[in-house]
Amino acid sequence: MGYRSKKLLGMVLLLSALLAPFVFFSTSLRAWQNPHPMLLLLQDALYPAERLWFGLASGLDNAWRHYVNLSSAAGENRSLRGHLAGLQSRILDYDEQVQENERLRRLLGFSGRSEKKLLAAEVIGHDDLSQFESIRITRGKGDGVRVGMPVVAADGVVGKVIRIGQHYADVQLLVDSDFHLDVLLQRTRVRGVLSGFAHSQCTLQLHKRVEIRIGDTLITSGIVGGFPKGMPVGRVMRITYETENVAQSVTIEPWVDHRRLEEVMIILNLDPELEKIAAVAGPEWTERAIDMQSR
Amino acid sequence: MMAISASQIKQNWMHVREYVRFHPHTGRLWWDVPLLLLIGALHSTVLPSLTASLLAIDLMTPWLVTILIIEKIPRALLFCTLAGLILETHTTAPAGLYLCVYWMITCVIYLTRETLSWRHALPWLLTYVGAQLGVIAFETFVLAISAGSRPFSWTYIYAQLCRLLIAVGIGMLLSRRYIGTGIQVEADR
Repeated sequence: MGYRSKKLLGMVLLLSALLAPFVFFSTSLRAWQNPHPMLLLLQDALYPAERLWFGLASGLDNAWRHYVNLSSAAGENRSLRGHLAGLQSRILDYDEQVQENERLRRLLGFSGRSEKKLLAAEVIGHDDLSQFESIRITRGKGDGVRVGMPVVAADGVVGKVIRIGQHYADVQLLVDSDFHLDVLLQRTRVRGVLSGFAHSQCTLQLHKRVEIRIGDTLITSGIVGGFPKGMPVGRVMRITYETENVAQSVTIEPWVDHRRLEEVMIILNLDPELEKIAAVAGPEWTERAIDMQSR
Repeated sequence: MMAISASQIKQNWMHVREYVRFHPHTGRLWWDVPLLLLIGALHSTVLPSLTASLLAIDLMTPWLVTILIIEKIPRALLFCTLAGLILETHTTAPAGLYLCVYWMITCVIYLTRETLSWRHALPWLLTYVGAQLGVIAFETFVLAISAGSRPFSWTYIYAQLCRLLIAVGIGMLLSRRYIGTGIQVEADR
């Protein structure tokens, strides 16, 4: 390469390095949500390696837990049997209460809650290099998963689908700094918007006069985001007051420990309001609406 | 029965070692691109599950820096684009974050690499530290813009410090091959 062309290349590169941050900050600063299929080719190429690692790791883990490390299994079995007997009697009570609740709702003329369609998925990857927290699960477009669908676990809310490939989906976690969720304080029924805080915590800003205690439980409000009402979200860990501020800052510990997640459930139902419109306007409209919502 | 002496075993091992030794960069595109994909998979799947997310390990940046120092500029730009896209389409990081920061690192390395002697360990060390600090600083700045000061705490500082030290350590391991011998001068320099 000649001296002149080398110097010109150096100038062009220097200029592009200086301009790059300006171009980046002029964008919306949102994660890739519906990237071009060409971009997802890279992720599709990575998927077999991830799947292989997941198979290997879970196989080794199963072999260790089921065939080698059985020393505590007998004691655990005994205590679980006792626990199960207690739970069975509680389930009978619970069934009774559910039926009673349904009858009362009908009497009062409330609309019935729609049945949730759930899809189980395994967690095969976790990313938390900086404060951008996400997991990768083994269900994708081919299984009917769409961007924006809520993801839950047995303990409560996990996050929402942010990106999909043919056989996988990336889930933005509740603790991601860009995640926001409409919640209710279970005891006092006060509403608020929860934000991800990172380090396995979330934060909530409430007015100073709102009564709140350490240990209070937060549940989903069911108003926006597609999460059904009443899903457990987390519990209050710390409350901070600032004298010059009208708000109190509440630190929340999510019920779900995302570092130990192995399986999750995707709620396939769309937002109930969207579903009503889709019934009239057709499925194409729904696809377009989800697409716009995710942008 | 034929006896095998220790010196024979050692000699055979030296012969085999040449084939099994890890080369961070082969110079062949058809081999280096799958290696980059493999590093992406290790970075996002294997390492978090092994460290139980207690340690943030950045494999991509030291490997990329090694490649950027050695490779010709068109290939270096291709690798930086691929690495950025791999990270961005796997995380919830804002679109363009890693593309932008890796692009800047590529340009800075291209503009300075001829002035440094790569026979010594110090330039490698400084380049790894500089590149990793650049990535961390840019991420922190973007986080501060998008989420305010909420996510910053001692845990965050500790995690980033660990990440810096580990990345520099990995980088120095990768560069061992070139320290002492220097790097081959490419046609476009």
